[in-house]
Amino acid sequence: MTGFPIFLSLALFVSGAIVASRATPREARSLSATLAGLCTIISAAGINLLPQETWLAVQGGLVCIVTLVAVSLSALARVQQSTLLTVFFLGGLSILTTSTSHPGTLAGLWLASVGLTWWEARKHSQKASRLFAVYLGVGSVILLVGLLSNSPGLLVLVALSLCIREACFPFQSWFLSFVEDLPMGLVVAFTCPQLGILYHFKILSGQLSTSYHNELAVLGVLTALFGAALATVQPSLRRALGYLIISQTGLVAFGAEETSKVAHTGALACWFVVGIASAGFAMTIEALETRNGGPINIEEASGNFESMPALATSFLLTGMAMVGLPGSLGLIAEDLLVQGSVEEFPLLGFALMIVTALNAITIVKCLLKLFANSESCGCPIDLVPRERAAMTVVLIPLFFFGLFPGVLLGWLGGV
Amino acid sequence: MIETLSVSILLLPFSLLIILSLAWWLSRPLGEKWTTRLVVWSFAFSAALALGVLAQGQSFLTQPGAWFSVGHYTSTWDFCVDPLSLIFAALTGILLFIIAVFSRDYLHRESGFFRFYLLLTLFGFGVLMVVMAGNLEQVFLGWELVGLTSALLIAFFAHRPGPSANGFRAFLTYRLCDIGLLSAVVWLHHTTGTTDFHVIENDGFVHYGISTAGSATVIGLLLLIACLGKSALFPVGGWLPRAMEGPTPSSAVFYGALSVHLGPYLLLRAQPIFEDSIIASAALVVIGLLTAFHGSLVGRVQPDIKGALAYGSMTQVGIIVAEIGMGLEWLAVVHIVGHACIRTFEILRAPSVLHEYHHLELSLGSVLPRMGQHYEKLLPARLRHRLYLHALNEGPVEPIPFYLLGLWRKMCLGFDRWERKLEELFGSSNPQSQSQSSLEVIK
Repeated sequence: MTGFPIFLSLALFVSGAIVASRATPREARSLSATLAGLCTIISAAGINLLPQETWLAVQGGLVCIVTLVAVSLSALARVQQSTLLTVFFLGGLSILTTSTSHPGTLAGLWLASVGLTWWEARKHSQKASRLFAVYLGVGSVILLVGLLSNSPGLLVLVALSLCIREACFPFQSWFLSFVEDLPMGLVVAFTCPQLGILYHFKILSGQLSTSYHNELAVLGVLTALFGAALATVQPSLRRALGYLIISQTGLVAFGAEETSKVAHTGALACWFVVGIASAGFAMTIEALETRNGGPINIEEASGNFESMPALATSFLLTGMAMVGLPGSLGLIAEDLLVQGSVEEFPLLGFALMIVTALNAITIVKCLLKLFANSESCGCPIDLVPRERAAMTVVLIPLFFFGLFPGVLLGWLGGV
Repeated sequence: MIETLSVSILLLPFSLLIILSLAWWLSRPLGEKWTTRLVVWSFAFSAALALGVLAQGQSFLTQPGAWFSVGHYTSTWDFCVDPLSLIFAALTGILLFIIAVFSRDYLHRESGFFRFYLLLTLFGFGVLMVVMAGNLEQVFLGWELVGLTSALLIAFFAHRPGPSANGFRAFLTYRLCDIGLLSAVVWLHHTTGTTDFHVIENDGFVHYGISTAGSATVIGLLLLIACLGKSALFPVGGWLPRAMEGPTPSSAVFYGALSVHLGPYLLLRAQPIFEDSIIASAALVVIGLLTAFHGSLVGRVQPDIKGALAYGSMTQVGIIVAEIGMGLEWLAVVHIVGHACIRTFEILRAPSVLHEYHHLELSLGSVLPRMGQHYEKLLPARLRHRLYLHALNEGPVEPIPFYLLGLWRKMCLGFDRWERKLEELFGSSNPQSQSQSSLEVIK
């Protein structure tokens, strides 16, 4: 482990502890936003000041942005101090994971993040926590056997556990309930850093035999197609979000199996985009639900651009950035992924284009239903300054690196 | 100097787009006066620059630099400066200038005034990106922006569910057909190592020594698929008359002038590919003529003026595509420019024409006699009746997309049911009480 990630994760742990000591959830959330913002500034400074640890600082930056948006847009009605503490701790654990490749440490960090999330999930939904325990419990045992046995033959067990953690088809059932029933901040903190993909890069890259490697690539595309197809017909906004995240993670998982430099860099860029954009998109949905007073049914949704312009813009930009909006980093990531994968997997590369088209259709369908469907809406409050500041932090890297991708791709290419 | 001026055609709307976007995000929209001034002058300058560069009579490719590069894959900013791109850039600038001036009064005090101008600028930038693009990747960039702004402007009037549904239908068609464009980009890059128009134009597609006719046919057909959606060609053009629910100025500039002609523009740019494939060229002629026949027939029975104008656009675009397929490039260019100007004028005048028609009838004291129908009278009554029914049903293909979407929905919901059963199996034994309790927690 290197110095900067440890420092950053310590900062997040301490922030969590401070937040947990606050008397009311409102007070805790305000402080959380400030502390997560400070951690984001520290990670941005790290990118500039520590050239030898740039990649670690970029990963730290992603986790800090995810944490910032997760705490800033959390609904007070569902968030307790313990939830915010869990979000900060998950952020800290994610950053520690980025900085090590030691199997034992990775296993320990995996168990800690799964255990912590399950402990918090129990307080919110019995069904979601039970599904989480079944799937991730089995996944953790398999991972431990695969990692600690130190046998190359058992690496396939590690791959299987990563598929469970990334909710790859057909192990996605836990994830849908996880997204539907739990506070979005918790979902975002556990999901958006996409630790499964990081484990994949750290442990599996170049280690699996060609047949397993091809099967995992097919599984990635199958997951992406499955998620994209089912997202198009969901009446529940949260369930549609669940399928969308599954689909986008499938794309990253597919890219992780690529051997060409172009596709590999595309996969890393995709990982970065999906991490930040899906966090922003998910928390925008949480903000909408807060204003709606409960879960949103897309078929019955109503609202208009005029009453919530910034919220509508956040929804549009973060959602479309995930699927390659021109001007965003998403377009470059998907371009690299498709161009790089065509030589090795031509048919799968074509499937990726269908996936991005379906996901874009789902996002625009939801957008038009939510923001262009009625003269009035339930509670027409736009993003408040705290929320707007957090969303600005989400949008800046997505569009800055979209217009000037050379800097980020330089960092990613060096990984 | 001339290279800087050429790039400025695009940079002006882009700079304005950044300013308007920041104002929108910070909830500090500019007033009507300043918004209109900035947009009007930005497009006026773009048009003037395009005409100025066109007057120089030079054709060249300007490359301000690489966008990004990874391994052997490099994406550069290439801008094609030749009579074709400059004519279209000037047309775009002039029409958007007129629309921006017209909309100042048309949308005065409308709550979405600033949003309209923001989307119009984004659209203008997208169109200019497509017409100035030196390679297919850049075309895709502008192409997608045009598609998104189109859907958002159709759904502009958010107080009714109709525009939202129609906006979605347009976007659905666009995005599915855009798979063709993206596939063409990837395929072209894969087979030739470049998507630069000037390389293909100068060296010819044959230069690459690949199975030329086969690849040219595949790429040509993929480009045609992309154009089907954007230019509302047969059989997927049903979204076009429904798209007229947006504000009249945006209908004029999108579906009468610029957006529907982006497909033919792309085909003109990719002409060397079609020259190497008789199958792809023949497909253009067939699709073009079918579209023209379908549009002409269905347009005759439209009860509303905007619907009739939409089908009129469809007819003309069909003929333009057929002209391109026959290799009559410059005729197609003249046809596009003429059609874009006249159709914009017609759509902008449509609301007033209805008003004037009504006044004329009041003054005359009787209903105006129906004119035209000369060709219809030449047909046998039985055939006329059958064609009339065909036109009323908008042709036999109109219900097919709905049927296919129904099947898709059924299949996906079937998978989702299976998914929910799995969740029930491993999850809670009492799902109803769970969802109830989560609702209570939120409230």
